[in-house]
Amino acid sequence: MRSLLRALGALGLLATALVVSAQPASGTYPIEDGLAATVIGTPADYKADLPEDLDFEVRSLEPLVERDTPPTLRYARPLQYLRVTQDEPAPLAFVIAGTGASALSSKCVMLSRALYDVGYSVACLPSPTSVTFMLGAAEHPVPGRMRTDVADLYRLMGAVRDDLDEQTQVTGYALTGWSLGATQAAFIARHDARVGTFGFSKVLLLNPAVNIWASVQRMDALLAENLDGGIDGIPAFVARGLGGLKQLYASGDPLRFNEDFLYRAYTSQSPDRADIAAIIGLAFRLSLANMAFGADVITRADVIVPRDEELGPYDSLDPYIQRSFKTSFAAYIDRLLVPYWNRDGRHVPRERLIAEADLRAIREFIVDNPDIGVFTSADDPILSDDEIDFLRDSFGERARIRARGGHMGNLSSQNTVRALQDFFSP
Amino acid sequence: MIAMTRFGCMHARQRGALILVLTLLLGACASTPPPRTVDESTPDDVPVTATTANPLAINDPWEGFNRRVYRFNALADRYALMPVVQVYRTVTPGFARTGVQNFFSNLGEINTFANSVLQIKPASSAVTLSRFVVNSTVGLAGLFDPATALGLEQRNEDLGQTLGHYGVGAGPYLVLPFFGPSSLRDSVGLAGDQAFFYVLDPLQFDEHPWARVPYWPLYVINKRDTVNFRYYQTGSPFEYTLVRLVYMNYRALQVEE
Repeated sequence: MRSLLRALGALGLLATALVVSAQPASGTYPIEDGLAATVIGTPADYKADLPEDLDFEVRSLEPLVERDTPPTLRYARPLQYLRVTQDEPAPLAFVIAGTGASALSSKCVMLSRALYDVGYSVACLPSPTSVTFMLGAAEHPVPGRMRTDVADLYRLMGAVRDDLDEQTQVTGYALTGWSLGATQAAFIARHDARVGTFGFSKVLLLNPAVNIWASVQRMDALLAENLDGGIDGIPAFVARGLGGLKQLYASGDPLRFNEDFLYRAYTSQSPDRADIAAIIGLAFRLSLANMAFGADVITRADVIVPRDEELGPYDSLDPYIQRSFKTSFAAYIDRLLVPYWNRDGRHVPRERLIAEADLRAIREFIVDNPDIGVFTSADDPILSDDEIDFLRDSFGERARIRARGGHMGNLSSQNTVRALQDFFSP
Repeated sequence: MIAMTRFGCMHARQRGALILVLTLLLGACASTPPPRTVDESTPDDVPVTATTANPLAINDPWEGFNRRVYRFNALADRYALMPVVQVYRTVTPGFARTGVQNFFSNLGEINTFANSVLQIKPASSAVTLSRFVVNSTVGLAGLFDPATALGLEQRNEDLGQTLGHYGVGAGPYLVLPFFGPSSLRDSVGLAGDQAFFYVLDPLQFDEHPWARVPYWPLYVINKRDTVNFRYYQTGSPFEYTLVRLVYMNYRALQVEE
């Protein structure tokens, strides 16, 4: 790891050199394919310039729920969020992370810098689908039911507000989130409009899912249709990837692991679209495997780890990794989520779980609320054309839907960040 | 998926680990006959599921020990190292930290050069030597890095890679206290590299023993400051296995490079 990290460290220098030598880019996000954009992100020339030296704090909260931590999950303790505060009185923006992401995610950092730059204090919260949230903040530790996930998030936001230093003066609240976190932000905003705790002045959804279940099924399909041999095909796929890298540096391109390297590799190798689709499916499946394993162990659901197995803190997880990765989203719903909501006196039918997690359920709130906006891309692979149309129709002028960008591929581009900062400017 | 306080200085590095994984996978895109493994010493009749490309086939007989050290490292990082780095970042302006980083990076060129020579790699040796000369002079004893701006990209060689270059297999995966993920071969290499530095004594600690007082703490703090990795940032219960997969394959790639 030392040299791996040294190599990664060298990227800082490389980036400096690139910034020095870079011509100002013409602006429009360059990657034409939505799947490729999702994987590659924003090449350096197109990235927004944001303040570097912010005093970020990783804050730890006392758990919001009483729960014993299974030894194998104790790494995910304590409940952490990321915070940066203004010295002057300022509004506080909450950022809700996307599927599986913790508050230490790089997107949290990027969005915090963008919002801090236009005068906000920022608190980035882990997704309810992250193990740290499931352990420390979730009343129901099998994520996926919109109503309860949102209630848990709302409670966490209250705890974050109470955690502010005495000298931090908050003049108001704003809210954003990406991906699943964006969809949740919309539901939180509606809840808050009724309860009135925060009174968000602005709410921005970044690449939301419209219907959670439809979107995750698309991610599942990307994997099923593009990874030969399914999960068992991972070794062959990784081997092929390694072989590809060997060829790249054999052709004289030194190995550098940043977005520009990816972008150059993409433009010079014209990769197979199916492989890119498989990568997205795999990245998503990793988040899902984490969540499924966590939910199974916490609730002793007996789906992945046998109920009578006491996993110690240092036990190998090898026997369960494969089973976790083979849990598709459909399997997660049928074997973990629905059973959880139909035992111990709970009776929530499958149909209701699915119907709850859809922005269309709160269409009126969206149409009538002039302070809620959405940014997304027409080629975002988690959305269908119908869902794009729904966003366009219900948000009207408050929808910024770009032709390119994929699923958050253009999030840190100059244009997107500028639009985001304009949206949040008073 | 993955590796922070003044996150600002990480800019391009912050997505390192994720991108590494993605790159491993994206490489899949390059066409032509699919090599089955990156390690050329692997016999042809070994199925791909038995190579390091299979996360569950990596040679890790000391997993119980390794997981304990991994946990120890994570806690040492959270409660000892990072708080110190935090203070360092608060009291030291950005340009000074960059200077410190460049200084240690420049010293590291000596080791890279030695190992480039050992592996008889003329290009890498020449680039590394040029970098060292340019940065040690024009770059004011390594505080600046004009060589990169001149197009001399930093190389990376160490004794672990040299051993690998001459056919020594990685051996079992091994997590070292403080240093983190390694392998039996790379641990031997690391010890060799440190011994080389000690014997060569480029900063002449022998004559100026007091120089060790600022050197070693600053060495450790700079190392941690520049490394973009936070334990448990992946949020995954399988982080140990993921790091193991990335480390072993990344090293295999470096050996082949």
